[in-house]
Order: sequence, then structure tokens, then C-alpha cells
Amino acid sequence: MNPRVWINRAAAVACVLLAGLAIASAAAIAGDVAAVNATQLTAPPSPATGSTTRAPAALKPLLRANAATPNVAVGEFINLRLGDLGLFVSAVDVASVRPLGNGLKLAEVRVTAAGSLSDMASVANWVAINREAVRLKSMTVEQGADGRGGCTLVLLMVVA
Amino acid sequence: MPLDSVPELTLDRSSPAREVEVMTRVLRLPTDSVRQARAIVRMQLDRLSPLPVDSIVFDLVRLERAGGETTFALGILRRSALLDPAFSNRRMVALARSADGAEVVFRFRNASAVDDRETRLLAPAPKAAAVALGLAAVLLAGQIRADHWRETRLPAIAAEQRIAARAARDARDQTAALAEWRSLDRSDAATRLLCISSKITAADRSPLALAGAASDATQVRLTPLDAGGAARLAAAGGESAPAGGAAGTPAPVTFGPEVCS
Repeated sequence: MNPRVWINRAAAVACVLLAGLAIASAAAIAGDVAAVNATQLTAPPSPATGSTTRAPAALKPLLRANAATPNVAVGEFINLRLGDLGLFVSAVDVASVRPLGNGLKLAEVRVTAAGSLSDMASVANWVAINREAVRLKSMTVEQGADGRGGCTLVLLMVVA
Repeated sequence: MPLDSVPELTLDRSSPAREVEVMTRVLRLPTDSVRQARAIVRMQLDRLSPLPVDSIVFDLVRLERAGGETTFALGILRRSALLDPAFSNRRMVALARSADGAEVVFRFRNASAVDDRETRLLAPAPKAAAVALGLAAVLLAGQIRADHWRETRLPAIAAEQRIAARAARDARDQTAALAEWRSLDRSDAATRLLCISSKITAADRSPLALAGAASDATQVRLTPLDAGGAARLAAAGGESAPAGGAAGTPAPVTFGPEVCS
């Protein structure tokens, strides 16, 4: 047999295999680029710089809480402050902590306590005095026979 | 004209350069089709050729048509002549010979040869393989690099997406928080309760016994203990709810947003 013919045949087979390898590599490269582009396209648009609303300058934080345990600090403050006003706090639940800007946050706090109507009036007075730091979203009180009853307060507190 | 009346075969040895002996013969056949003519010659080959039929190959070339007959040139070649090394890579051996005064090219099929078309087509194969090797090497390197780029880029994009999503969520929360805070700008439950209390005590400063109280940013609801308390509350602008509780128990009195607006 003519060796030249066999050499050419082997070269032709090698050419086909290498061409297939080249096509596969090109396809893999295209796939990588497409995957990265597709991932970038599915990313949500970033909010425009400066588009977030700044907190009103009149806001003052009611307390400064540790970023790691804000709920604990809020609970301790509420227990102490409302206790001074005559309420016996039985539960404090921080429903949410949302940013206000300028490093301030708004904490929605649900307080369950025992107290009288006059104690609630004291709380209302305290909230009214500190309007730039705390607001009362809602309150209910049911007076018992002994003059004290269950109270539920929902407060919005500015926290730093 | 019948085949057996045609002149005998002639051996063309005219060209000293031509080493292959081709026996030529001119035939007149009653068909114009080369295919049919070949079938006729194949049947009569033992009479047309002095050599054994299984040791020869033949070719028919149409020369001219005249009336109902066609003149063909028959070329007969020994099979052993095709084993010549010069023909080893030629699938079809073309030999030009003269027949009936005309130059005719006979084509004999060489079954033992490597297809010359293959030789022509595969001649650039080594160069093409070298080019393909270079191209494959470049693309393979590119694929490795692209894979590495993808492995580093995708996590970075995911991290950017998480940051963007968190920023968007914070922006939404901030907007909602500010809106809720500002909704209590004019009055919240505390200021409304204090305002209602001041209205009640403005007319009568005596203590008012209540069973319960509820307040939010839009209304205050006070539950008096007796009818007198209910009357005081109504005088301050409250509206009593329809009686539906137990007998003797005053209904809650509601102060709407128009009171202390």
C-alpha cells in the first residue's frame, strides 16, 4: 500500500477530530459568555444614587441600640421607661425595624402590660412630649375591678 | 451489421511511449445507448476478444450515428495491465488510442487501485491538520480561560445582585417607614387621646370612670361605666354605639376624626 495515502488518511481523520475539538471549545466559550451575560441581565436594577429619601432633620433617636441586638435594647428601654410611668410590662415584641436614613431606624414595638387608665394617660403624655422620637400608633386598655387591667400599646420609636 | 462481420481486432502499438496494449475494434450496433451497447458486447465478448473473458476489461466509446446504427469503438485491455504500479492509485485509467482513424479515449475501471480522487482530495490534509491543531490549541486555551473567568465572575455577580436587592429592599422599607411616621405627624393615638380628654374635662373637671379605652390615629373609643359617663362623653362630641351589650352596660362612645381634627 502507498504509505503516502495512509499518511493523508490519518491527517484527514486528525483534521476532522481537531476541527470537532475546536468547534466544541468555541461553543463552550460562547456558552460561558452567554451564561455570564444572562446572569447580569437578570440582576435587578440598582436604586439610583441619592434616590432614597433622607430622614427629616427633626427626628431624634429615643435610644442608641447595638446593631447586633437592637431588640434587646428596645425591650430593656421600654420596660424601664413604661415601668417608671406605672405600667407593669409583661411582653415587648419588636415587630419591625426599618431604616429612616441618616443612621436612624424606625422600630415598631408592641407592648403588653398591666396598668390603669391614669397610667395610660401618663404614657400618652410622655409620647406627646417626645413626639420627635416616639409616636403612639394605637393603644387599648381594659380596666379591671381593681382599677388595673390589660394594656396593649403599639409604638413607633426612632432608634439610632 | 452483425458483429461477426466486423474486421478483426487491431493491436495498437503505434506509440513507442505507450507500454499498455489496448486492442481496439470498431463495431456497428443497432442501438444508440452506450448502456445497451455494453450489454450487447458483454454477451458477445468471448467472440470479440481473443483472450479469456475473465482476464480482460473493455470500454465502449460512441463514434458516430448513421441511420439506425451507431458506430462504437471497443477497447479491450488485459486486467494484468492494470496491476502496473503506475496505475496503483488510479481508480479509472484513461488510455487514448486511435480507432477507425479517430483518436478515442478509453476509460478502464481499475478495481485494485486506490481512488485517485481520494488522493487529490487528501493531498492538503497534512497542512489542514496542522492548521486545525493550531486552531484547536488556541480555542482550548481560550475555553480554559473562559471557564476560569466564569467561575470568578458568577459569584461576583451574585454578590452584586444580593447587595442591589438589599439596597432596594432597604429603600422600600425606608420609604414605607417615613410614610408611616409622617402619617402620624398631625395626630397619633396619644395626641388624640389627650385632646379628647381635655374636651371632656373642659366642661366638667370631675373624674370620669371608664371601663376601657382604645385609641388610634383616627378615632378614640371610650367605654363609660354608667349612663352619666356616657352623657358626658356624648356632650364632648362622642357618638354612642347602638345598644347591643348586656343590659345596664353603657355602649362604647366613639370620637371620630372630626373631633380634635
